[in-house]
Amino acid sequence: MSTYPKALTLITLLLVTLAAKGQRMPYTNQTDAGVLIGTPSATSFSAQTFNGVTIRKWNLDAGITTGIDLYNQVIILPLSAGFKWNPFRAHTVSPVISLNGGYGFTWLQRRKDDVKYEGGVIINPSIGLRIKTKSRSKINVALGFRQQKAEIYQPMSTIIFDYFGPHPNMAIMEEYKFRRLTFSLGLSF
Amino acid sequence: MKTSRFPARLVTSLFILSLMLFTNCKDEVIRTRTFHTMVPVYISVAKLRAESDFLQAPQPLSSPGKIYLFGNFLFITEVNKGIHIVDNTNPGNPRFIKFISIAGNVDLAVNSNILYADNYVDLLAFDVTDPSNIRQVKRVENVFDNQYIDQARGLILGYKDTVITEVVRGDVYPAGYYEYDAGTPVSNSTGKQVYGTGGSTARFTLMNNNLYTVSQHQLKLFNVSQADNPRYSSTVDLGGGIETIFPYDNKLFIGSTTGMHIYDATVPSAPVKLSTYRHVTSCDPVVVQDKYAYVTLRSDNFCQQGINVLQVLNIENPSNPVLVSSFPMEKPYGLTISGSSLFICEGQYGLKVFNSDDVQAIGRKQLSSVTNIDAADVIAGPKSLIVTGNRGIYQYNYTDPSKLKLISHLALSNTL
Repeated sequence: MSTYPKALTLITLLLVTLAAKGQRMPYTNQTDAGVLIGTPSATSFSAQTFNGVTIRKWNLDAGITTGIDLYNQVIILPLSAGFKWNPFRAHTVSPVISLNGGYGFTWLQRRKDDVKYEGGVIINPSIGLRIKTKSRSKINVALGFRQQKAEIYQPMSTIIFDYFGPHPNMAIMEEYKFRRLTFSLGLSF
Repeated sequence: MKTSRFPARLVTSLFILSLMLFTNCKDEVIRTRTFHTMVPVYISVAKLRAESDFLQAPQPLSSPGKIYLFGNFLFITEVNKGIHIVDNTNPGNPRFIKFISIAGNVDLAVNSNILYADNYVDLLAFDVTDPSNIRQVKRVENVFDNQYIDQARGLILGYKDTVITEVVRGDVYPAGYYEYDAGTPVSNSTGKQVYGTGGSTARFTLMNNNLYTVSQHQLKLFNVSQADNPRYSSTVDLGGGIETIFPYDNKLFIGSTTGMHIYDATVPSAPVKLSTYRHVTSCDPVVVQDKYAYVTLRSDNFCQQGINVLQVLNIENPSNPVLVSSFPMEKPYGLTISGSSLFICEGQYGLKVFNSDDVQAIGRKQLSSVTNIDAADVIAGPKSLIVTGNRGIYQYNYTDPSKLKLISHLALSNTL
């Protein structure tokens, strides 16, 4: 929990500083859908939308990303700040390097009895290609890496029936670190 | 188009970097299990017997075991520590009134205001006529001698309540469960003796002036014709894996992990084995009504390779029980039958009520269910349906079995 506010605040501060320079920074949006792939066989659906501004002189888009990540164990709503660097943006096909950091929340997780869910820090670097189309929008494909932390706390998840009869006796705390390859496809303008 | 300046080298190297990251794309989990458990310790029986401070102020309910209903009093065992006495005159407002501290206590039964409880190797009898002045009236020594580790030196293997924290670091696998068993009411009052009602997981039961107790391998008999003076009479070897005992119509139905034994107890002091109904290895409390026995089989860690079903057996001829029907269940623990309503505890899946009129169709005649509780064992009392589970004791108005109404909940005080 500790690094998320720091990362978020730092990047937001950076944005504010940049805005203060009085440059014209057009609004930009990129929406992607994709999969989070882990080994040996964990694949989860993911969708996200990036809203930010374009800082032309640095070929940089900076902004906030949110979306939904459907892990088997928990549903995460990520809220992260970050940038997309698109150094050769004049080309029809150009590379995009992206870095996002923030916090994944568990607000969308369906609650179950006494089980408590807690989200965690998310970090997501990726590399992709931006392809111009005839219209204003561009197609984006990206390959990246995402690490997401989350906690699931289950108090007294057990009824023990032993010589002593049925009785509850256990609490389980699970601290997850999801580490996935991300593949996404989407549109930006 | 200026595609010649496309930075192919940069893209390629970053792509390779991503692939390198992928080799590490494995979810990790650190599982911290906090157990509330019993750690084995040596206990001196002499010291144990010297203790006399049984009656205590109400204690927090933290690890409830067996439940037992006698008149307006509900007895709840606090595993290995003693017995909570709850005034259940108004099931909508049960009140803890006293706690009887009994080390090593697991099971109990009440006969005409005399409470029988095990105290490791001994059987204790208490007069509970006046709950504010409970007195120990008898100690029958060394009857549960299988707990001795060194009888010559008077040492038993006892258990100390302990909280253990265990950290397991590893990769993520599909969710695993760590579930165990549970059990129905028993009342066989005769003559002038008044017996209480236990759950289907009971190991103590009363019938025809006798107290029957089962351990893993044995059935022990106590003559309780004089309620406040229980006398040990004999031991019957049962084989292994014994879990529960249910008395009905001068017969004893003994549930084990491999089957159900039926004993004829027409001569109460000398039960005779009539038959054994064998099934796959499962945990299985049993209840009986008229000519049918209802057995739940459950698979879990404790009873491996089992199945989750309700089986109905015709026991008109107790020497030859015949399987009549079988219905799939989710995770059945204890059960009870009252009139034509069969109540089945389904662990984390809650409590289910079935109409039992047609034994061929019970599983298809579900009247109602309560899904937001964990249900382990159940007693259908005269005033309320009492359900224990891993979140406390729930009581329901079951006048209309198709619409159970929650009237009270005794929550557990511990939060691990």
